[in-house]
Amino acid sequence: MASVTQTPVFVRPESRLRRVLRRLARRRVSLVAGAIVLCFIAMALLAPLIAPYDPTKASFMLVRKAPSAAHWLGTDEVGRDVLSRMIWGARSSLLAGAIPVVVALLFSVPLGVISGYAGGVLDMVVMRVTDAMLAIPFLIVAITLAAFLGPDLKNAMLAIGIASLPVFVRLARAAAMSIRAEDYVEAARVIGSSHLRIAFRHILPNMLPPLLVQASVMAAAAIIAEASLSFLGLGQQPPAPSWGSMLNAAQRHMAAAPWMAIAPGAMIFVLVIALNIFGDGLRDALDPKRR
Amino acid sequence: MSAARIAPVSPPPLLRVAGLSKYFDVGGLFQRRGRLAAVDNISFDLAEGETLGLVGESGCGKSTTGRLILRLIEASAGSVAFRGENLLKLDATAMGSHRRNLQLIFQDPFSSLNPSMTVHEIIGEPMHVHHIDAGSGITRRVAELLQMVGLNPAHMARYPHEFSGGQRQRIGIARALALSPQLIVCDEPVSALDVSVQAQILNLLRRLQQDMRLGLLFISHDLMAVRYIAHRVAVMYLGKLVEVAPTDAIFAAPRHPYTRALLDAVPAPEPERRARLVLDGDLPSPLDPPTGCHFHPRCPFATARCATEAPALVADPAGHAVACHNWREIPAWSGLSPALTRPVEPRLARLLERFRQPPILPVDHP
Repeated sequence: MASVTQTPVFVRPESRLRRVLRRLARRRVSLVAGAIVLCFIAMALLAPLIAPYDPTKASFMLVRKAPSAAHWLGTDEVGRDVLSRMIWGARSSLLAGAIPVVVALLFSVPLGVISGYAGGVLDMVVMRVTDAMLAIPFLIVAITLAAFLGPDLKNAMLAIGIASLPVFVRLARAAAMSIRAEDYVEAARVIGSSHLRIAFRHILPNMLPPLLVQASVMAAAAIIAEASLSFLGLGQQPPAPSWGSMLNAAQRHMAAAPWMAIAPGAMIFVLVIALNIFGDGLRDALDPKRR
Repeated sequence: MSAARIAPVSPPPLLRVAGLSKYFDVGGLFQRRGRLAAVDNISFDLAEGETLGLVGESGCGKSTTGRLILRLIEASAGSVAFRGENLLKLDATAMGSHRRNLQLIFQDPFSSLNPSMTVHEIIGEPMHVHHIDAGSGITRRVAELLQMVGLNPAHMARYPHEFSGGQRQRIGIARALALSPQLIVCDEPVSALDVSVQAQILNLLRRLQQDMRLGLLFISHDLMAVRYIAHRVAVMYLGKLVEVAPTDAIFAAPRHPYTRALLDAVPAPEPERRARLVLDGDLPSPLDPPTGCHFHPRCPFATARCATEAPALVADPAGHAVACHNWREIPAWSGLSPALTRPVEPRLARLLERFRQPPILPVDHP
């Protein structure tokens, strides 16, 4: 047994993030889906630069005009440019997809760790509250919030977040419970690690993959939910654009001006499909057992 | 229980387990159904630098015993004295600082390493937790440990999934050694590995045990592995110790009929027709163990006394203890299958030699 005198040269192969990205990139479909999602994010961020018109500027001369060289996707029932509204509408739709999911993750991860790792009375309380939340229909929550706080995008996102919370808490709890039974958690106890250290170093990093995948799927669902709420008049308020509210306006003119519905409808469709496919790819890339 | 004390050592032994028991209350929805004695009043000593093999079939309580000693499960009764200090009486803080003396090697090399940590983080974690060699000292120590277990220190930045089962088990051993413990509980450390890798890991454990004067509690159902590595063997049946003896003695002349049945059940490479003690029936439910000697319903030598009176574990002056009323009366044992004891052919021996010592790579390997 030779004693080690100098620190050997370590070949650091790649970080965990790099490995996941590389494996994500190997599947062409998930790469394309990820690129599409990035395009949507870019569109939302660059809206003031790329939108040809003011999305809220009405014009009586341009009511429900079919697509033309000046208005590529036509105009709506008060003469606003559909393309510009679609580009600006990406902001509210993406926010509606991202914010509820982030909020749900922030609440559910600590609750799930407490519930799944600690167990006992705490677990029972968290689970019963979750069950109660699962029992409340999503639309009722949204309508109630709109009634008390007024209908706007912020409250719609709050309603979506509340509705998706119990799913995340249950998932986080299940993940924490299965990881708690792994030998490496017992190994950490043998070493003398504190519960806090076990929760942060061993439980948390390993329960993230299923949660991230659920987040990507839930983001797609939240975008649809925002569209439904806006369609019902409970989300984004006129004249500010969102894809859901655009669809809401378009339904009364389906026969006369179908272009009003096609653009936002196609955007929702493409974004949701892309998020779902990306979520699938992410699941495969995060699974350490797959090569 | 002084009669059950085996081979006493003059200063307090490294580990003295006395009257250790673990009962689980098994309840139905509305009422208590019964009490399961997973470990029932067992006592043994383990000296410094000694390997004690703990054998028995699945569900006999051997893993539970290991976890009781490490206080991963709280015992119902009894004491576990480490160098004379009862671990079961310590509070959480005192137990925490004692943990560096007692470590565990797991059966499953896949579930025992955190997949999201590098080897450096896994082996270095015990030192972080106990604030030893913080900083660059940890890297040096991890390199040293990897080398000790026959892995390339240059691989410390890798993740567990990049290693084979045998290599992962070496990582688990390195983690157990990180705090220079005095006692390691090995819970079936080779049963999840391929046979060729098993031999490597057994050799490694034996070498480390000799070099570092470790006390090993080697829990296994593989009698040949135990015969190879252990100085003494303790046999468990249904939560109780039925025989404790030096390895040579127990393999030459087992006294308890159960030990004999276990030895007869070892598969031989060239099976031959010979008188073997084959057990009927299944392991009885520990919820409702048989009266008297737990083994009597399956024992071909049982007498009326066995059904009523539980035998105590009694040691002779040579340190061979057995819990059986009739061991002196039962017929002599025919011995291990000759195929198991015969010296190996020279060609096979050369092949085995290849597996014996894993190549230890130089430190300055790129």
